[in-house]
Amino acid sequence: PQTNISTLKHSSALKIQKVFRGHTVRKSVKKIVSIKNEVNEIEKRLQNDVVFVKLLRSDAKERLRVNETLMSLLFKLDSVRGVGNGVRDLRKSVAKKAVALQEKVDSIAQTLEHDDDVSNGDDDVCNSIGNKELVVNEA
Amino acid sequence: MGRTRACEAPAIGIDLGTTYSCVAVWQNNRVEIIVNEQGNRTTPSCVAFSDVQDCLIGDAAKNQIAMNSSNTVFDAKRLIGKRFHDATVQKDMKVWPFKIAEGICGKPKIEVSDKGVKKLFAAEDISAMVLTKMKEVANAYLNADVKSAVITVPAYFDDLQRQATKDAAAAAGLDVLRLLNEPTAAAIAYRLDQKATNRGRPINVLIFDLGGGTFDVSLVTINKGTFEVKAVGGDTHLGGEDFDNQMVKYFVEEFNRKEGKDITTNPRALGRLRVACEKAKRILSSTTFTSIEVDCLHDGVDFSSKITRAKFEELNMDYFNNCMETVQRCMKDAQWDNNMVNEVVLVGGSTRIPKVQQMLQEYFDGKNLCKTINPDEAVAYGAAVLAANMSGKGNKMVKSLVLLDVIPLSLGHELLGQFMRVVIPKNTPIPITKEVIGVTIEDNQPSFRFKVYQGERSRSTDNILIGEFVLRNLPLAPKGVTKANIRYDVDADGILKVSAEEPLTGQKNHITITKDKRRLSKEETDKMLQDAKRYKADDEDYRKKRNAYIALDYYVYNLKTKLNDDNIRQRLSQEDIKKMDDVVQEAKEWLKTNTLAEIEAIVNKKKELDSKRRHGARTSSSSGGRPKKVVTINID
Repeated sequence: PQTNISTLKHSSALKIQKVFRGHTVRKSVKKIVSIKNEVNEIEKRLQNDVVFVKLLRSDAKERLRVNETLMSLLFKLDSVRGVGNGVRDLRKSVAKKAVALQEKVDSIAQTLEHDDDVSNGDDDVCNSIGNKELVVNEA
Repeated sequence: MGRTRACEAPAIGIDLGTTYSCVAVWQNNRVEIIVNEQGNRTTPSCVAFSDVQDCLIGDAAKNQIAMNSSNTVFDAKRLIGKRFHDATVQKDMKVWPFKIAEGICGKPKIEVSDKGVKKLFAAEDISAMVLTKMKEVANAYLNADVKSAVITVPAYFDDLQRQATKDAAAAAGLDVLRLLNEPTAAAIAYRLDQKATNRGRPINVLIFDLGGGTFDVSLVTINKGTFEVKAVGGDTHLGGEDFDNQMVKYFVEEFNRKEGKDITTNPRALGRLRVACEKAKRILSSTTFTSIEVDCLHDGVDFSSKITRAKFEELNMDYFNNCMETVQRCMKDAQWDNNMVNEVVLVGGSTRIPKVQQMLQEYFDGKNLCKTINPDEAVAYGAAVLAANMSGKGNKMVKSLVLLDVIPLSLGHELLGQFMRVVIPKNTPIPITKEVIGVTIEDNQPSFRFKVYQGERSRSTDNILIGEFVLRNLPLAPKGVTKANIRYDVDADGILKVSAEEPLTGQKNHITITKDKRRLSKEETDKMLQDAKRYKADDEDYRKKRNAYIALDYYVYNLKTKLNDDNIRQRLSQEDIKKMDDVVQEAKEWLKTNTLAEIEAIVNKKKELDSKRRHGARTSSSSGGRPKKVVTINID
């Protein structure tokens, strides 16, 4: 009976930890995804909305506004706990994109050229999320 | 209990801080800290103007600070009630991202661009906006229209700063029930006033307030409802932000060492690192070890590091030592011994730092610190208790709160011979009303001139003249017959009104003494009190001299009155009358020119007169006798 109780304890603890871990991971991922969507929104506007880009080019205040929106998203992102490597990678990919977008907005001021080399992060992010869900299920 | 008058909006307590403000209310038989629309229990004292939208206040303003720094105003509390040329203003100006211009009368004005228009705001205007925000937060929470509040100010705020804070409240549509000293509010929050009352003897409290941007130490003696601030000290530019900066510096170096990259040129990276450091600092108050992770901090390089509580303490040891030195200095100023301190109260978020608590505790030989109330909220908590008390709400405990402010220096007016007649002695609790009677000092005196002074010296001119007024058109009557009722009114906010009325004719006049004229800085008050001690002997001499002078004056007056009396005149020879008239005339001249004569001279003069009187007018002495010596004749 001694071993029985101890294994029961062990498996209960494992179960609780598993569920909680899943919960924290899901919570973090949810936050990151919502931030990611906002970042993507800005990215889309930068790529497709010509008027918007023109405005950015001529109006320093508008550039600042976009940059600060990205900055506050970064702050939010930084405050998400990196539970496990999967979440950390996901967070990193979004952060990378946000920083890249900030640099892009900066470069709009300097060059009149419209270049769109910041769009390649999207697939990575999706993949990461996919992997993430796997990890969660495994745990 | 509080529900009985649910329709009526309760009075709130507001801690109007330098970096953050907090609002609380007495409800459901306890103090509730009111959260803002963001769910935060404190709101940044920050106002932002922009070109496209209405001004932002609180969290919204703070969030966009980096984007719009020159139009985002904070630290208004450092500016309120100050002059443009004050050294502190000049110093602070250098680090503020917003512009300060000199307005009329040397008032500093904050220059911002609001919807594309350049505008000048006084610090009061900014504080008013913050107060408006706090009021709205309370209104939303209470679903009511809050009208009145208790607002806290630092103990060292002078009168101009207090008045300016009141003006700000008025502009925010708040009726200020009372401006409360922050340390007093913290003491109330811990019910130390109750403790003092129960013990029956005064208790000494040290309030250690280490917030986001400022550090204040106050030593307060609580005695039956009076809170006397014995000493204050601190650093107006020391707080949690400095600790963050130290950590940022440390990690910048580490990043440089590890990656060979300098991030100081990248403001965004610095900003992210700072936020991460602040978070780590908070965590280190409850754990001994934490990690910092910032993705893509600089040049695509991630930053990840660890910091221990010990390292954090080492980085900030100089600051912590400074704090303790300030405590020591304060204790010395108040001439307190370590074991004289009955309670140590912690206020301000940074007092959560274990090292700070430990150092304080060691200094006071292991004394338990008052830290059960959230240190960010203790001040607002105390303000809310007082607000409930003043509006007749709250439980028995709250209702039993008696809070008496005292006037720091005696108030009175000048009597004959430049003598200070104290009407309200110092340390009298306010509000207070006192009435005294004044009488004329000459025959047919047409007017009273009241010169109102504050100070502790016997000679009025050694004190500070704070105002004067004249009561005219008195009925003509002999000396001492016409009276005036003089009324001193000091309201709960320390504003003095002196009024005088001649009861027969109903002639009236009054003066309201503007607070900026009256209240002195702590240093000036201290100097005056010290002077009073130092010159105690001088003052005693002056009092005697003045009494002798008055006696002589009265003597001469009586003599003159008698000489004018026909009954007496008939009994005197023409020659004697002439002689006596001359004597009186000469004595009057002497009095006029020798107002500041030494006491011996005055006494001698009186003896001389006395002998002349005896010698010259034997007849008069039979009817009138020697005039009675009266010391104070024109008052009471």
